[in-house]
Amino acid sequence: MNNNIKGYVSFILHAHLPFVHHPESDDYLEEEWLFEAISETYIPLLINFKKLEEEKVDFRITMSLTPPLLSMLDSKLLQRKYINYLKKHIELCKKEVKRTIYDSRLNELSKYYLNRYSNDLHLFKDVYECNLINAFKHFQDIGVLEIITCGATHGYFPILYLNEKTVRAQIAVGVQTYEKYFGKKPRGIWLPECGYIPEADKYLKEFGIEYVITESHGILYANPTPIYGTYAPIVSPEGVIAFGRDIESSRQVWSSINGYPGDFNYREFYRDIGYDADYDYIKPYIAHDGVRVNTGIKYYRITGKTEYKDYYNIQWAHDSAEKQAGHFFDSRQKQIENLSNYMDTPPIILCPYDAELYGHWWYEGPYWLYILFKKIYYDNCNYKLITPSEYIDKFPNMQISTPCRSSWGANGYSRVWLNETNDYVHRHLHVAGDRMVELAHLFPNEKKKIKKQALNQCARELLLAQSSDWLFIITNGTMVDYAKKRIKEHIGRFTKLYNQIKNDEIDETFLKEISQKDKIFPDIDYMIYY
Amino acid sequence: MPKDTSENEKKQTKKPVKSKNKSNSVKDLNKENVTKKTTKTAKTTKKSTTKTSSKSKKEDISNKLNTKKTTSNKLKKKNTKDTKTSKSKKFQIIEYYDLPYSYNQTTVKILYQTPTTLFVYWDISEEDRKNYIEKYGDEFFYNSKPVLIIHNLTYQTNFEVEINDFANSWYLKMAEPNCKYEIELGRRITNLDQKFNSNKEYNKKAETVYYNQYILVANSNDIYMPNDHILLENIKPGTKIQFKNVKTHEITTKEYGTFMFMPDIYKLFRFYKEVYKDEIMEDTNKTLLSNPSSSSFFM
Repeated sequence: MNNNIKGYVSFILHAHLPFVHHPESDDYLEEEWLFEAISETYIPLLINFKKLEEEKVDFRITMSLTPPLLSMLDSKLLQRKYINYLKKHIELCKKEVKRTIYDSRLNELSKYYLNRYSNDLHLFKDVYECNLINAFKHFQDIGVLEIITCGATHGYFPILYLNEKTVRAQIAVGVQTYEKYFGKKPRGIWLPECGYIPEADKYLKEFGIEYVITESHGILYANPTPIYGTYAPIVSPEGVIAFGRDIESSRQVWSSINGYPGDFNYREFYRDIGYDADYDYIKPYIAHDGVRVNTGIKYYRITGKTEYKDYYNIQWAHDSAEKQAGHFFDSRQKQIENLSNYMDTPPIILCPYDAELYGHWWYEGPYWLYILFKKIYYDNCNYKLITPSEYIDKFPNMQISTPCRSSWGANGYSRVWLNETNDYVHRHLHVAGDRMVELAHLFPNEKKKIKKQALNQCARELLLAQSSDWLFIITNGTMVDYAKKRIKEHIGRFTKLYNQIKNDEIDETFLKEISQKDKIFPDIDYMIYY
Repeated sequence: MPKDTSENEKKQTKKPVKSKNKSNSVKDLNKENVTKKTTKTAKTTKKSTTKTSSKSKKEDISNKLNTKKTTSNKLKKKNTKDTKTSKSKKFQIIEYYDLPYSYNQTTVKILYQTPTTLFVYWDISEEDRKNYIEKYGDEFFYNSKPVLIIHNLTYQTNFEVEINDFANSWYLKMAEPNCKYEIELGRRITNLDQKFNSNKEYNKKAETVYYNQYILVANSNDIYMPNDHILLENIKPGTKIQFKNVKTHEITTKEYGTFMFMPDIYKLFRFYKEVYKDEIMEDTNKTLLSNPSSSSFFM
């Protein structure tokens, strides 16, 4: 600890998954995205935050918990399914402990997984009482975590904004969902995919949002050019504050060439017993249709650029994480020391990442954060951790400038969500958006219960169709069928309801069924499209 | 499988080139095939003009396969489910949806893909088609070609691109980022041949047209293309910048020149650009950790 503070570092973890909720079947593998993220990212983060709290380490971190993620964490059905997922994993781990008896190193690892999943079950049921939202909220309440919101369903603003009301609704529902779970208004928002457009500023202001996070060039290419680059926030003419991602620190973690997660001692993501084990043996634990998938039980370390993989060694992995935490710690010191020569105000180094990078992709990531935060607190250091809100409160004087239209996708603009593989979708999103606004104007403040329910369900279907995730998955080329099916379903359900509402012949059975399937935003009011 | 028939719009498949077009018989064919076929043609055309769709053909084939697979999987799923659990009794409606090929609305919409690539999609309603034929004669769509006129509203310039009637969207390369654009969809008369004239004789109401005449169909929304560089050129001696205290709303003005350190900061960014060139400029979405897109979970 040191009083000679010359700058600040701000970690932002963006926790998001698309809404996947299938009460009609147990066969949807896609629901496991959530379960994997809980076991590999959310619970490990919570465990490490708790350790820091118990060790009285004063740290700061910011997380966006998106509305679809909150809705899924709050779903009783998905909570039950997660418990089943854990029980299944525990059963498999027990078999693994027996199976691997011939090799002591492997056997140790299988016991480690058994212990880990058993602990997850205990924590989830007994400690968190199935409520991970409250578990995160606790850290916000004690002042170390700032939770921010996101667009309602992660709709990508630069595509939706042709009808600005659809952007307004994404923001409105994002803010409402946040208030429902955290009992206050969010100060910041993670723009879906960091998709910044100046047209959204007035709606962000309308719903009380103070700041957004942008990709580096959102600030660097801003107009007029910000004098401090990404090292200080700017404020748009409409009054929205924008923080830009620091290039140096984010590349240290993300780089595909020499990023931290590629350390040879770290766990190899692509060697999973779901693929490696005997088919008949693993069959009960993979996809229902017999397709091999990841189980999360992985015994190897990256080892090197080789097919031959050595067993994972937890101690070695921890050693690497500690070494890298030290490297990151030192790099920020140098960076801030250097910047302080140039700046007349303390710089902020903004480090935004996908939360799921930590733990899911980079298994040791949560531990790395824990070590880093401890170092920053205890070691002699020229900077402190801070949240964007605290920085605003401390240094409210900032340059007026309009951020550049930008996103954090490859190439920095809209290509990931608009290219030859997925451009057929956009007309449907736009038409549905226009029709939703039309419905709100045709039937404002509807009194009839069924019709009102139908109108609200229309709003839900539209929002779900707008998730940027479907477009991303199509571009990326994995699980494409599922993403395309979801777009068709939500547009299809929306259109069917739209016609039924206009013809005044609402099929109540249909409405009831899709309301059960697409059970999100129970308190939505379609009048946000008015 | 009962199809959702409420979507009448589906049936309005586009048939712009009336006399020559094979798609007159297309109506009887499976709708999905029509859609696929049209899209495919459109994409191939695009490739030759804009060089943007390298994978499109492969993609189309795999799309087709995927669609089939999904459908059959879905069938299987529904069947097993219905016999499997009592829980599924809650869900009895079998749903099957396809995206309509057209919404039967005349529309032109533009979006930016990159600071220099613009995406445009369009559609013409049946009613408007009929109106054009009434006004300009039966052969109107045969004797005219669709064009896009791209207006750069910032520099007050424009240029025209000929498109074709098999496409319903296009990618356009723009020379100027950071400008405001609008696009017109229109038609240019390209053919005043025998057929056209004879048509005029029995269609007295038709207006006279002349060669190369331009007829506007619809205007798009306008958009600003993103900026793609640091706007250092805007900083001249004496350029003023404003600061705002977001708590007190007090505004102060200073000159760029007073911030002597600024060039150093931006030197740093140019340095980064050089160092991380390979990763930042990467033209792919699939490199595992170099693309921190927020859906990286699925990669």
